Amino acid sequence: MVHYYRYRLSAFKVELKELRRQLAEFSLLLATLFFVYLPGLALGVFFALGKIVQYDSESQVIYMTFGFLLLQSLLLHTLKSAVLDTAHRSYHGTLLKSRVHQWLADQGLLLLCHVLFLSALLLAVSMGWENLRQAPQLIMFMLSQLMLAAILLYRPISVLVVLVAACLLTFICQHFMTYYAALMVLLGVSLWLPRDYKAIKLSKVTAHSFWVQWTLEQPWVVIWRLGMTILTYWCIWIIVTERPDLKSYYVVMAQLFVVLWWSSLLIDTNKQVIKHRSFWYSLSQFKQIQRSQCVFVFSLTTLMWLGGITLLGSGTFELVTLFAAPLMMWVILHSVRFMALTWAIVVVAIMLAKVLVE
Amino acid sequence: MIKVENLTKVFVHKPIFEKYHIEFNAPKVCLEAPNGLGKSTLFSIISGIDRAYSGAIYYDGEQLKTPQEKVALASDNIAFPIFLTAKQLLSMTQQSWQCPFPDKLIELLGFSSFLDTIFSALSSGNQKKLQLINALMRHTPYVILDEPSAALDHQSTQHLIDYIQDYQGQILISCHEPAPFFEVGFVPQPLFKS
Repeated sequence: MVHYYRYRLSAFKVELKELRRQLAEFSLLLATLFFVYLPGLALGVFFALGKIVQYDSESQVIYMTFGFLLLQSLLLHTLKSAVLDTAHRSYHGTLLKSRVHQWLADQGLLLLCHVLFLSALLLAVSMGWENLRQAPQLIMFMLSQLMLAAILLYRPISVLVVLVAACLLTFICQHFMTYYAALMVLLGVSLWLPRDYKAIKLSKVTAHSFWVQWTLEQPWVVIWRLGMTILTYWCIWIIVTERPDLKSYYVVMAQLFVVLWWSSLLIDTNKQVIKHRSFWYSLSQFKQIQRSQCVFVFSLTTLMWLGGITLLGSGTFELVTLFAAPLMMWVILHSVRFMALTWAIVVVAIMLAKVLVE
Repeated sequence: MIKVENLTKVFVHKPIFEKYHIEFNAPKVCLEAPNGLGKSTLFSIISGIDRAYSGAIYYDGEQLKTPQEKVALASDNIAFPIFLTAKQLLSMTQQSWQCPFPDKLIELLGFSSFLDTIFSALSSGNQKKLQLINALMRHTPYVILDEPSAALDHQSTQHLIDYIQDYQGQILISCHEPAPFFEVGFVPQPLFKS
């Protein structure tokens, strides 16, 4: 069976390479813009894990746990097709007598790319058994990390339900042990949910409601952005609580990130428009669908931006960030390869103007 | 009648048509050419789906700004959104062109039980039926059916032929097994004059 595991590893590497290629330009740009913060970001993971071990309040452990579970779901979902080798899944059946090997390969590759679990494991190992026994919440946390990751591979609906419920539980639970216990029960119960997602079908589809149907069919395009928006606002909320003097800068930055997440939805919608161009032409609705995708994306961007304004407060530059959305959308429609660069220029321009004005 | 004049169409630096002329005068035409010579491309151009060309197309002597208003096309070149059900797709055509829902045609081609199936889950034969229903339901003056019998079972092909036999308007088809179509009055016409 070694040949099968070897194949899975090489298929995983090939897909990772492709993913890296797709994200190369954008990652490089982000790294260039925020290179000062990169070591801090890596250390931030251990700092947050440390907050789970040594906490100021029990609710802090609960918030950190939810944040990590949300983040890991976003990261692992991106890598899911590489882990499962989704494109050639049926081919596996021609190589295997038993599905056990397939499952083992899935879990092995999942562990290999589960950076957040590996970080927690590293922390646990460095703490030693004696200290670890004093912090059972870390073990519970790691267990929930592993369970949620395994569920994510095979039962995407369960993950969504668990995450929504876990978010609600952060408002209800006072003690972290109650939270973890509830989480375990949730993860167990979620296995009874249907394995496959079946979207609701709209009775009438128009050029506008087409995007609603599209979102219902592949909700991930919205879910990951929503997740990133929650994480962005949450991180900024923590930072501005610690450093209220820098609030205005961080809030503007958060809004710019949110505009980036949501205006980039136009890349996905425009792919649909281009792919089905002939269909829309045959209905003589090509212009309508082009317009409706912009309305759809801008409405969602504005809604999320408003959420940030309500949560973190507004100022002149916070309001200006919304104007970046139409610009980003225009660039995406006309030359998508300049999207990252445009966003970077907008960030630098707004921040520079803010520094000069203030 | 449809007339194509001075058509030039290039695919990645390779010309498919160069100053090309053709006229379709018969009410039922079967366009003949081996695979890959441009039949489907020509159909897409005539039906207004493909706009990237130079030249002129005349429909009863008139050039149309939006040919798709008068020409309905059934072709694999029209990529339906794969997540919509057959019923949703047909309803969209119904709304766009203000035509009645094609209950009779659906029944004729034995498609009723697949209306709630999403496009990607339809078999190739049923995808073809959906394309045909989607085009024929509009009752346009010109209908183009690209390989209408491909993937269809014998009975459905016969029902289709019976239906288009009395169609009021010009019909252009391409077909590699045209004999049954010739029997109901289709006239063969080569894509390129030898």
